[in-house]
Amino acid sequence: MRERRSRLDFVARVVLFALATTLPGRWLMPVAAAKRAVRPFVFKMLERPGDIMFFLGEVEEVTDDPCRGLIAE
Amino acid sequence: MTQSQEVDVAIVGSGFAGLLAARELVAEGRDVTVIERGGLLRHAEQLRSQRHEIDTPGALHNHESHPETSYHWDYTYGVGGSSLHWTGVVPRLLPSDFKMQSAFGVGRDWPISYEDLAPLYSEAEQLLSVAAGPNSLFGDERLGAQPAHPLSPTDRLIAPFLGPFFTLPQARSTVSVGGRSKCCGASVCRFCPVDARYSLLHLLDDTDLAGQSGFELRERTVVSRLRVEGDRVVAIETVAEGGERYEIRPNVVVLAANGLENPGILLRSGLDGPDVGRWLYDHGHRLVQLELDRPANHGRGSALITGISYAYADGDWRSDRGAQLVLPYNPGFDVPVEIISQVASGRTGREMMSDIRRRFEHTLVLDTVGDDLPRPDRAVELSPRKDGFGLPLNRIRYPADEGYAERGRTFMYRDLERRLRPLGARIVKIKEVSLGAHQLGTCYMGEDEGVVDPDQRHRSVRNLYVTGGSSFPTYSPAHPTLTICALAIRLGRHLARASSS
Repeated sequence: MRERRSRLDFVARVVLFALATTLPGRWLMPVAAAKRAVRPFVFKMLERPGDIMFFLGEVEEVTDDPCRGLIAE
Repeated sequence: MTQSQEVDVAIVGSGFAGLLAARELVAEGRDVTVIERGGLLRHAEQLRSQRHEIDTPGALHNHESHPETSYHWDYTYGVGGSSLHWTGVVPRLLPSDFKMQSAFGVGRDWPISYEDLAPLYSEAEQLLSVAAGPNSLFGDERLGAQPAHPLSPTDRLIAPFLGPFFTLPQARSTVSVGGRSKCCGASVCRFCPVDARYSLLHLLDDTDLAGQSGFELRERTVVSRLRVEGDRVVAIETVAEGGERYEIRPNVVVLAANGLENPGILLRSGLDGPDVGRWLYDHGHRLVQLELDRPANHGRGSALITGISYAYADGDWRSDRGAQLVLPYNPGFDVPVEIISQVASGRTGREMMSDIRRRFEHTLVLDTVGDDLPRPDRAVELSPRKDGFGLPLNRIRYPADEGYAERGRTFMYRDLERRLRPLGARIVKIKEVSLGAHQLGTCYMGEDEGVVDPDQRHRSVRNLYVTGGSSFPTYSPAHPTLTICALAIRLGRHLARASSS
């Protein structure tokens, strides 16, 4: 993800994410606001089906192959 | 001064209905002018821009929701219409779908039968390079043009409990066509990375329709209204993206825009009537998640969806409740949404990961799509608000499903748990997905009633035809594209015959 986004965009996402998921920010932030902070980080991290399969441990690496999605039998 | 041009057949809209009718007419030597609001965006540019429409005033969507109802509507203004963004699911309607009134005492009968359309379904499947396997509900006829996508591991797990269960007919190719790759299972069909999901740009490229004499494509041109004198359209008033007004004087007009814009044009032309714009329907999808006591085998298969269950598609009970098709969703549940929810609730680390992974593995996701009875309170009207061309917006009144449709769903939810009990299934989530992609019924076809006759000819304007999903008298739970294609081929041939005789 870091390579696919600009540095500023990446840092902004990380800061909001960190605020929403660490103390004391997490105590202060309502869940709905926390979801809004977490969403742009997670969606961009897992924007391609192949990324999800990597996150779940179903495949061993993420590649730039546009066809990386479902695992063919 | 407004410029004008005389043409033989003018077709409004370059989606499935418009281009397939045009193809038939051009093949028979007719001159066809296709008018399209949007512009041409090639597949590579769609991928680069992650858009299906170009920046032109005509491509701005010209509808709004009625203040009392809210519903998302999804269509594309561009050369190729909604074929640019669809996901390629192309079941035929069942024979009984054409006779809801005579078979079940509800809705209406179509003025044509399954048998009338069957040969045209076959031709449409060839044109769209449909991958399909046998389906005994349609007899012994071979369906499709290519081998089917095989059933996925998820399909094979549940097929024994949800019969009749077949491979899904789909316009995601299993063999290369026109030099394009076959489907690689990327499961991002709206922007297929390898152009394996059929679009009408393939028709233009593979058949050289655009290069044939007799075919003219007038893109970035908005139809303001039809001017009618007596029982004929004498002119189509158009406005180009720069505001230039142009008048097309046709022998024959075919409205093949979509189920919102077809009635919009009629209403803007003063061609109203009790049925124009009414009886609107969109297939409301529900994603049903069931937790199993064993892995659901998600994340595997050759395409997004590969199987289809007809367990709730047909029976005498259709007199009382809506039918449903059930399509197992191979990618599984929405992992990012689950992560967001858990992280925002304070869960992180290995515990969260292992929980999400276990639930991903054990949660079966079914895409369900159902029908409803025609309702007059679902309608396209003209809004007092205007678009950038000074034309009234199409205002959509679309109250939520109730009664017939909901009874069908309620029964299905209960029965899914019963049938899948051997897998330990229990429903954990039902997500409403209002795609708004199937705009049906707003200029419906009838023997003696409706907006158009069985040839899709307007009842009072004799050189005007209206085709596409708007012609459907009832809806079936089946995705409508293949039927739209078959109706368009039928109309094209009807017009060609009418000319030669």
